[in-house]
Amino acid sequence: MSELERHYRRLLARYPRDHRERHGEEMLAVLMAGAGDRARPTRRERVDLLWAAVRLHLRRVVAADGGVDARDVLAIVSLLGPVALLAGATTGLHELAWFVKAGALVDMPWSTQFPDAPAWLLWGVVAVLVLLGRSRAAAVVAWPAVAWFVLVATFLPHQHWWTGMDAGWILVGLLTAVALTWSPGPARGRELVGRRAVLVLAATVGVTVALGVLGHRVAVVEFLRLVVVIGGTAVACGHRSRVGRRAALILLLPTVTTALGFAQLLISLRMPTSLEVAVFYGLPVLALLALGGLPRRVRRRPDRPVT
Amino acid sequence: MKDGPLREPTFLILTALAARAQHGYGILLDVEEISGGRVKLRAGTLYTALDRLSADGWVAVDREQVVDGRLRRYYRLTDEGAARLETEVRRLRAQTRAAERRLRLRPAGGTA
Repeated sequence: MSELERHYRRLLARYPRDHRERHGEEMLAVLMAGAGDRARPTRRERVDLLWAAVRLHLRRVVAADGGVDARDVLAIVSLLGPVALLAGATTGLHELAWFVKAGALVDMPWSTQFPDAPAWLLWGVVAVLVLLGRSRAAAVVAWPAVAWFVLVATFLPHQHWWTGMDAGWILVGLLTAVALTWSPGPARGRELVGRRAVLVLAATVGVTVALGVLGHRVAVVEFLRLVVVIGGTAVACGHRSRVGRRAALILLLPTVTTALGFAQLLISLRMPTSLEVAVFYGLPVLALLALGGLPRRVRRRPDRPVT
Repeated sequence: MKDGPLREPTFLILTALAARAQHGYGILLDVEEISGGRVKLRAGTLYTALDRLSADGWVAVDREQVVDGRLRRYYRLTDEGAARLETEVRRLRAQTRAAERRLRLRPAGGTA
């Protein structure tokens, strides 16, 4: 065995076992055929082989079906996330509406009634920038919005919601900022879900906010809001595609954590803060990873009998 | 996404397999030729893509050979893969025609 082959074998040893067993010798043949008279792999070859190994491992952990490209999921999130996030302003807008109706807007204590207003304002700016195609600028504005969320949730927890409600918005905000900064971006997202998706989601958010402001804490209205937000998000993201469903799951994280929060209230379960953080932030992330790890449905080929 | 636009490496790999089955090294050389030398795929990228394309049912193993003591596996485009490539070609053709039409409407010498 040559020195070059030994190097290649060492790099291929980093691949997932099933892939190595199926393609290892074949890849080695391809690598040796393209190596010419080199004695060692080039730096670019090493990087390519190691990066491919990482991707294959990740695919087996977070997308065992092998067909979901996380970058495409994030591209959709970068396009629709800023719009979806605006629904989070509902509670604050309800407070605002109350003070407006009472003719006491100037007396409204913003720091207690609407402490996260600057964050929602920033997300509104991010949404407009994304729609205008200014994704770099949108990414720059998204991070202060995330920071404001975190600041309010950390330092003003008693003047804000409980962890269950904060967690979903913070997670979606963070993932949207990450998607705007590092994914292929809203342009790719628009290619995947179409321009209509933004309109569908904007309408969904508009209806959700209106219902939340006008029918605050009315059980039927809250249920209707839930139906609208789940249905609208699924349609906007493209519920028929696996990438779209994955993006919808991310955008619906606030619904998931709020449901967890209500369940906690119903059973009057008191948890230490550290456990609350683990449950409301950790569980949704684990659920996303686990759902990503579900193997794709195997379609029976008509020429093969069912066994 | 199965129905979205294809990424360039995917498009080039499917194109390389469109006319005949090819082995891994053959695909690498063909992709370079098809792209006019602009895209040089490496083995890691190629086999990550083949892993995904096989899972999607667009590419399948055609046959295996041992040449000079080394395994050579040939891949072919499946009917599903060919249909997907055809769809992408139609999409690109429509975009190219639109671009040509608009370029013809452009005032001579560019805009002021």
